[in-house]
Amino acid sequence: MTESSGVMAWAYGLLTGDTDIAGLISARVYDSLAPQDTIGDYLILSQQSYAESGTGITGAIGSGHIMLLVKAVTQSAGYATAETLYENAHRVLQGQQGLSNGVTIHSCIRESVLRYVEIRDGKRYNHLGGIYSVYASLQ
Amino acid sequence: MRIQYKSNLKEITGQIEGKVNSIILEAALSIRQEMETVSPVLSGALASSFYISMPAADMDDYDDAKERVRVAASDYAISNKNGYNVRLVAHRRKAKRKYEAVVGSVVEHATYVEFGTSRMAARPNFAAAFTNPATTDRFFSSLAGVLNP
Repeated sequence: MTESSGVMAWAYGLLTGDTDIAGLISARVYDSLAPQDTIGDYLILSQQSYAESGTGITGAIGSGHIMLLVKAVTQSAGYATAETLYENAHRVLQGQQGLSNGVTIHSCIRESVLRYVEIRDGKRYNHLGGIYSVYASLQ
Repeated sequence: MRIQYKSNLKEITGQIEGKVNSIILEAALSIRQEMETVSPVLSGALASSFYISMPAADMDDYDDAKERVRVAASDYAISNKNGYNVRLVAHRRKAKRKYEAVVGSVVEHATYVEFGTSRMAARPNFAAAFTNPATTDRFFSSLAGVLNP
């Protein structure tokens, strides 16, 4: 288990374990890319970067700094559905700490938000999410 | 006895500002260079598309980036019979604050590459370049050198 995989597992667990999110999208939370046959709205988790941060913000030796992308992808005419879904994801992740498979997550703070539209085969996909700065270390 | 006080504060502040802006510009150039290196290359348009806006350091090559993209895209269109269409971003970002540099892309598909689409996983350039320890460590140690000479 590395810091990266621990952080991904931790975030995935938080998002799939939330009842409000489950009520909106069931368990459709995916790493990097949704399966091609996915129907309905979903959440994407993706690691944007990893860097060893030496001594982390909590003083933990050998901590890693992971930039984590979390976004809602919806197919409605506007952003309203994506906003509802992403707000729930943000509530679940922002400011959280935790443990996951031998990895300690010290902090998870949103650095920026993103919002863009993709038109593909005549369909509109709304992408709405945030980039989270996560510090983690192996236990 | 006569004591005269002459303040050099303005001159000192000016020197510090100049040094800090040089450090920010150096970091921005380093980030852009890494983004150019790690960009996925299809036509070369993306790798050519990165610009820096930093008025405090007299730096703004947005228009140059547009021209580089135009050349890369047209070269690619010649070699690719399917043609290639590069769309430019609708809104240009400029640095506005005193100690700020913007590193951006002039092409629309930079967003799709960085954050992914419904059919393609993200292939981040910006995030990797911005958090590269070689760049961030040099940036912070240079800054510390100015503030604690």
